[in-house]
Amino acid sequence: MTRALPILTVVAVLLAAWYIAVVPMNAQWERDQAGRAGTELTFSQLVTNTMSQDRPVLPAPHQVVAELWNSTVIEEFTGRRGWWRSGSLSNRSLIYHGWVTLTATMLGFIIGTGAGILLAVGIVYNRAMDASVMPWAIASQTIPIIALAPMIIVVLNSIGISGVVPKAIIAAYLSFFPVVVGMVKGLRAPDGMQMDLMKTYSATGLAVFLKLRLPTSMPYLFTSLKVGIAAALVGTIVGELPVQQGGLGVRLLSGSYYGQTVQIWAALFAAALLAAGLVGVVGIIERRALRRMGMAT
Amino acid sequence: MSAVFNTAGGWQRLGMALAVLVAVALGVMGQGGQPSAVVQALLVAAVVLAFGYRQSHKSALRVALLLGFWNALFFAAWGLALHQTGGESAGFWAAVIAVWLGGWTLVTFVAEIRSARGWWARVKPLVAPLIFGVTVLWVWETVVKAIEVPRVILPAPTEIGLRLSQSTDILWTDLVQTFVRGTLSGFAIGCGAAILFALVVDRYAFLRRGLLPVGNFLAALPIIGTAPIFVMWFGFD
Repeated sequence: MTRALPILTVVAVLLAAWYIAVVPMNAQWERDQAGRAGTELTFSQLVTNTMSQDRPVLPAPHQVVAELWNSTVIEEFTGRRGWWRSGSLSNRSLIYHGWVTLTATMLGFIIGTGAGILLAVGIVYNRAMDASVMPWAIASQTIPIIALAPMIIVVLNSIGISGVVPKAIIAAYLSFFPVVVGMVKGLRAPDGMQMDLMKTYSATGLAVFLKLRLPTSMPYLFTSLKVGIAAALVGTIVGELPVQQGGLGVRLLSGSYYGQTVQIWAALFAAALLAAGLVGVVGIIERRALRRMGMAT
Repeated sequence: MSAVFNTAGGWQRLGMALAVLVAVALGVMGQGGQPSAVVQALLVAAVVLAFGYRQSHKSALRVALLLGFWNALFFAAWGLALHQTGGESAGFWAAVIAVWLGGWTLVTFVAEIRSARGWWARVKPLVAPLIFGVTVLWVWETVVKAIEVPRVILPAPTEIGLRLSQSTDILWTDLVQTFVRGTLSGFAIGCGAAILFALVVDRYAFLRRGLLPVGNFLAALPIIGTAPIFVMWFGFD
């Protein structure tokens, strides 16, 4: 309870500020409507009207929550194309789009993490790679992903690769860098004394790697994985914007095309919940793994 | 055998020598076009210099050998990339592989130079990444030209550079718009707000326990998705 109270207070303050902001942000439309109809708006009418517009400039929190509920549970259980009636997920529900995003994110995350760990091992063990590749790995992250994403998709599409893979590659591109940096730091974390001890055991290079460097790098790896999986989700959403074949990115973009602000906000919060969930899962695995390795604090 | 793998750049230069051998053999057997006789000669010179190089040489001799090695590779690469005749054959690809391995050898040699004093200490961290970057650009250029990738899919770096130099004025206005008006002002606003926020949060432990988890959640919001919302609120400028 001592942990929850501050968080709940902050959330309550934020929600209150949000509700207060809704009135002035949406007031202009209501005044225009009243002026056209030639009626006067009382303040209480103004407040209730701004809370329930169809296309508000800033939707009220309860509208976003209602949209989230409607486009997940209600759509799947009562919709004509929902899971309950048709046996497959409805393409109008956030569950379906979230699933599309999740699969691409996970594939990209696995590719990015694997490539990142391999590159980190190469950098730590090969002086030439350390000197030549690391600056470019850093420089590669300054390329704006939003400009790169359509190019990657077009190029891959022209050689016949489409669907989940291009999105996963963009996700991998974003998630691989934190892993490289974290793993290089982690693999170099053993100090001289520990390395000397391995030497007195006359340990082979492989044994030093498996029994000293790799275990020591685990806390660093998990920290990077948490950053990387959130970055992979962002990458997937960026990759979905130009493709328009399902996913939370598509919901965001179609919402902004048709002025469906509530839909944008619902998709945004679904993405944030997904990100928080993924980071949380990595955190649970981290705690389990580090405890079993005797490193948990 | 262990000498090959224990010497820095040992197996890379051996690979380069083999690739050059293949390229020259195919060239002598009478395949016209690439690699030309000049390129073949340069590659052979590069191999000789790479095998002549020792860590134990005097530093002046080492610098001379490395510079000669670099120049031989560079001009061979130049010839391969920019004087293509169309219909590149196996000899050409052997030469490309040779230049790639040669670049790798060079990076290994440079990375192994330990004594770092004076100007070299400042330049050394830049040399290896530069050689790597130039090699990557060169491979891109050569491959795109040799297998004639459509320009729509992937243009050659020289074409990109040409367009870059031709449209500097419009790129400059774009840069001002993006960097000065967008990035700098956003950076100032963001840093200022963050510092004020941090001061307040640090002052009250209650806020620290409450705001940080919420902040972490908000940071997970895909920022790209908020762009259409902000554009709707504030307009485009």
